[in-house]
Amino acid sequence: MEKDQIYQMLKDSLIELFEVPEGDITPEAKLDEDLDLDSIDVIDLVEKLQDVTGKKIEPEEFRSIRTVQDVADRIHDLLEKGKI
Amino acid sequence: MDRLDYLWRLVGTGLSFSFFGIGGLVLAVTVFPAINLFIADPVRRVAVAQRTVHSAFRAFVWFMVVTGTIRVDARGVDILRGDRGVLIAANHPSLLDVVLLMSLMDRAQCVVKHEIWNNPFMRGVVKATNYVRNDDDPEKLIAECSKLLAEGNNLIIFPEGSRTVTGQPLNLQRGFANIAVRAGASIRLVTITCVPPSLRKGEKWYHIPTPSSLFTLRVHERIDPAGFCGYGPPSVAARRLASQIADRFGNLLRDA
Repeated sequence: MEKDQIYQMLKDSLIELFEVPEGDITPEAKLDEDLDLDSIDVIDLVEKLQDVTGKKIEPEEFRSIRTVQDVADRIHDLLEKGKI
Repeated sequence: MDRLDYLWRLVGTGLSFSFFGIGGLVLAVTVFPAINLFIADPVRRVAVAQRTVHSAFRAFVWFMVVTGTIRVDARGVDILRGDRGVLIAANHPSLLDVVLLMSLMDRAQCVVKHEIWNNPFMRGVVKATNYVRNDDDPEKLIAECSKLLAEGNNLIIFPEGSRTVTGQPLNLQRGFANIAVRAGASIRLVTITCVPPSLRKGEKWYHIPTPSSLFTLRVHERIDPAGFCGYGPPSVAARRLASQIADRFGNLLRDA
């Protein structure tokens, strides 16, 4: 998956799971402050991303995540790692 | 006369707080360790420990009412006592809310922050009562709450997370709605008002109001989360449920 595909997929997931208004989703948007996600939401998001990418994601890998772009980068790294 | 009444209530408040501290300490170092030591059957141990907390809180509320420190007007308590496997969601105006609720319910569970397990005085109590330990691990918390609710326990929860800030609309966390949706447990709404306000967050015990605070507790409808599921993922159901309950609390408290 290309970076922009990943970003779009993430955006779709945020809208589907949490009904986040599309306009609020920007790369810099913070998951907690700007998008109003709580810790349970982050677990749901990780599950969803696992389903879509087919990759196992450890919750620890999401500990340092703050923004939408952080999530997209992390998924990109995971998918790249799988190729090697 | 008013001055005398004020001083008497100040003494009553001081005595109540001392009773609470000393009584709690005595129970924590005698009764609860004994319960843990002598009652091996975990189900019976929890039941005895919960009843002990209930009785102690009842005695405490009785003491505060008899000394005129507070006034209590609770209605719908029978409905509350008839509930099984229900989340009891209440607003949180004062420090006494959980004490009041537990004094009215003989089998109630609550979620307690994990630091309490490291407190040598409180450890025995939370171990005996089997209160839910919040380790900041939401998956574990939901699983444990679901198990307790399925066993028929009622779970007291304050959806605001901490005490209400006066004059602001209720700001509900969504944790309670997520527990309800994922455990399939219904939510009983309880409103508590305290007029004039006292024991708010950041308030000292000796700042007592005149006249004494009247605590009004009302039991309202039970909301089934099933009506919110089926439109999408649980995260969406929890959001809709939390938002409807926030509106409902707003209306109930405005009319109160």
